[in-house]
Amino acid sequence: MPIFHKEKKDRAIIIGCGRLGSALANLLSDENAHVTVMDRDESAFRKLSPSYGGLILEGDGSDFDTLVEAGAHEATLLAATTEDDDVNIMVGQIAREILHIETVIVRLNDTAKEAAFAGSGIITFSPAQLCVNEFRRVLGEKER
Amino acid sequence: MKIMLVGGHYKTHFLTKLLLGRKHEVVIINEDLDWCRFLTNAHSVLCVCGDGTKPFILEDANAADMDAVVALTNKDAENLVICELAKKLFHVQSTLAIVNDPKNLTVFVRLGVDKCISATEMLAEVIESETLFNEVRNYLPLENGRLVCLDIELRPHAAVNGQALRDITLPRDCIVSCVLRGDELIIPNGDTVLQSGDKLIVMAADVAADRAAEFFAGTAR
Repeated sequence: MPIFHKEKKDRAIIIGCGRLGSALANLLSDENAHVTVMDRDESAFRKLSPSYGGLILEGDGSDFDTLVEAGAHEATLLAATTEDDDVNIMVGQIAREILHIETVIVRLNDTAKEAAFAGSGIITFSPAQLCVNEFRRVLGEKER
Repeated sequence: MKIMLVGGHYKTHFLTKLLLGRKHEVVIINEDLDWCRFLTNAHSVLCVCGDGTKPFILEDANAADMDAVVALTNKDAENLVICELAKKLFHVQSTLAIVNDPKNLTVFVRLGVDKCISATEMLAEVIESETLFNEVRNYLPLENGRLVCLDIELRPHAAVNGQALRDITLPRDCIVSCVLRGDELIIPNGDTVLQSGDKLIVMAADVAADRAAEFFAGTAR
């Protein structure tokens, strides 16, 4: 099943081109979505696959003007995947509460910080929590 | 008032001194252990060493008891998270954040921070008012401040230089009542031509004072 239903105006923005950000950008690009990936560090974009067909933008994702420059005001999906939880939270909230982006995903290493934006409809992923879930699943299968 | 200061270095030190002097209670959260030691020795206040963006650190420092939380770190995102956690998790009455990027002033307020201060913007305002005050030497309020008397010296680049008063469209509610040129004292009429170096005595309504001062300080386009 396609994870991203492409329509004319659909545009995805990925903040942070680390391992997660670049993988997401590659994935969405393969799904034919309009993707823009942002990072402060130009060399981060080397992680994108050669077949990546989206845009790259060097800049600070927590800067409001840069977000708008990336087309965030007409995006339907924004994923904040930088290594800094606080930056992810800030970008996520700007995206959700000021730019009203439909789907906002934020990667959090410390899930306790979720309280900062409780009730705003932002989706959070925590690598540790996902690992635990997977751990339980694998162990559960073994016991069966 | 019970006030929590999160992050910051010298700012926290001086602010603590100031607030304690005004009989407020102060609690500090700081990441730098050595600085924590210094602050507790200097002020005998409760100081929690840790990252203030983490809820359990805020809890250790009794954030729920605070009347105000002030976020002083040098990262805007951290200050936002500190204020939001204080507000939403610990129901602190008022939160205040320092922002480095003046753009974030409106962003933070929209996201629920009670008050934001931008050092950059304050600096800009001070610089502007400093330059303004070079022209406006004196400011004399009359009639309980409803009327003010301004003493303005025209600079070489002022837009009004070389123009007769009748040709100058003054801002509303102000009038040039006297022109001092060297030792000469001129009660002006429409034919009076303003020159660089003239000292103008301008009467203005209090609301028009800034407008009048800006008008005569303005440079030719």
